[in-house]
Amino acid sequence: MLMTFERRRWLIAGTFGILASSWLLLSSGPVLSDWRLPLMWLPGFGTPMSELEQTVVTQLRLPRLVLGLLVGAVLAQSGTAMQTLCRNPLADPGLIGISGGAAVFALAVIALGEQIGIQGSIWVSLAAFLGALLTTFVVYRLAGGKTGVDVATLLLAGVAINALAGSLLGLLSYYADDDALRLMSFWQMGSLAGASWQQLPLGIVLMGVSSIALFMLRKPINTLLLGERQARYLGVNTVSLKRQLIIWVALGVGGAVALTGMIGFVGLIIPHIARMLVGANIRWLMPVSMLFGAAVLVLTDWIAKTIVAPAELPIGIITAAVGAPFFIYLLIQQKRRLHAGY
Amino acid sequence: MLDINITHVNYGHKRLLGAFDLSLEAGEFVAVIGENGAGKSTLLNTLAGELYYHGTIQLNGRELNHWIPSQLAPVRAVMEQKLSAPFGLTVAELVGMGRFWSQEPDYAAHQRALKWLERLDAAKFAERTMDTLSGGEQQRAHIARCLCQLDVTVPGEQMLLLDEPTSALDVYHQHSVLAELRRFTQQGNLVIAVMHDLNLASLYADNILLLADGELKHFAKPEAVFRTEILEQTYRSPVYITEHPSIRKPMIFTEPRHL
Repeated sequence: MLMTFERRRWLIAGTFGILASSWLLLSSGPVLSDWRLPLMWLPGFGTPMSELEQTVVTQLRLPRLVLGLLVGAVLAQSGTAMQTLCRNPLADPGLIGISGGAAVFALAVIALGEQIGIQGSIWVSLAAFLGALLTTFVVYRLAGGKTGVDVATLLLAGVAINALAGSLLGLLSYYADDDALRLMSFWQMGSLAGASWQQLPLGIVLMGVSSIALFMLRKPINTLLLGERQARYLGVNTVSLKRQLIIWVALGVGGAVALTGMIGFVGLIIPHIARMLVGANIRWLMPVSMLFGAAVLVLTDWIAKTIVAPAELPIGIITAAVGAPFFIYLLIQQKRRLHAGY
Repeated sequence: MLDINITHVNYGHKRLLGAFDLSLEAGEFVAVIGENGAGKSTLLNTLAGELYYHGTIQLNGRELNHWIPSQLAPVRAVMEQKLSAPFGLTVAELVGMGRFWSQEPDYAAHQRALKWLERLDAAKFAERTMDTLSGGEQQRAHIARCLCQLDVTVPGEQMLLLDEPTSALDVYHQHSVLAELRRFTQQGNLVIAVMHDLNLASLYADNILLLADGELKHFAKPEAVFRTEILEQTYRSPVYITEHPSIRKPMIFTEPRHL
């Protein structure tokens, strides 16, 4: 039985997870580690920080932390929204091609932007958003039927779009110069290493707007749990709801991809685990997913930059290494009890 | 209250429903009966606005497809045959979803949900999750959701469409649910329910709507529809009809089939 109390516990757990992983990311890393580092802002803190410590924490680690929290929360939230819309736990923004579409558009601007006169992170983000919007729409239309979204078609459409994205990225790499090339390869696996205070405001706006908008829609989204038809009977304008949902998911995922590249499987695993803990009710599932997503992404990012120090692993390698087996496990589960839980 | 005047409903080239010319009044309990595949659910879906129809269907004087969902929700609720039981959604939360249109705060929706669960003898599993319930309990939860959706200060002129609402219920709950639906109709509302149990239909319905091959064959009081020749033709089985000893409604007996 899932009582309110029991679910609230997971909200608290998620908050603690965020605090713990944030502390870890701020206080330790390949360069200097001291568990007291996050306390440096406290007025009564004993030993004053060296200039190096100041720079590392405020200019490198803090923006990275903020970006990680945002991207983690937004990816998990988008996953939750898409899975409820599609009534299927396999609808992850990465797997169904949204991230790939965003990446192609964004990388096209990085590789070719100079030649057509559009440059800068704003154009890259805009392109990522448009790419995400286009692929979300295409995938949803391809897989959508009268009774909801067909799982097999959804995943196959994702495969097709990811393949297309892959070939387009390959093509783009021919036209890209060395700098762009390095950026592209890093991007395809995702990384938070580029986080800086300069690019953060844009990310905060894009992902913040998407996140708030999706959060405000949680009640109508929740009615989709009963099926699109029943949602309509309950008084929801489902046509408009689906349209809004797709736009906000595309904005959030587009923003995340524009700043950190393709980080796969977060939108798949986190909502799934959260659902096992608090159930499918969006009112609980969405906030818990967001907290868990933020905490897990920050922790994974810390692992990515620590495990092969002084070098750094792209974070997408780690999420894929954990996520792909998990995805296979989900597939087996689905085979056993098709559509169970939805 | 509900004026149906349609020539046909098609799906592609397949004819699902034939001509209907029917006016249903507020305060009526209509039981839709007929063989499997006779078009009962199709009729309900059409009245729910899910299928494209040729002709007019007017609810309270307004064409069905001119209503927008948020205006329709306080006037019309639908219980489908296949019920959803989302994982980890509590019964009270499901019933409270019926209040979506009202924009009332969560605790108010919760209180109202508990009231309806109480009325349907379901209060004891209000905090259980839908996926852990039996089929009959899920049915009662969804009926509570529909009634909770149509719970307004001034009842009347509301329509409740139900596809086999009592199919999984035990005898006690069949009667308590149908009595609750009767009470709803007595407030000046219309209930249209697809039913397979002819005797229950006879006991509770004001009018029986008999469908065969998508055509409206009979629409009349139970006494007029539940007659040997009509039922034997519809169900292709021998039937015996007697009278209920106390309330004088037709009761139908069927024959076991021998190999």
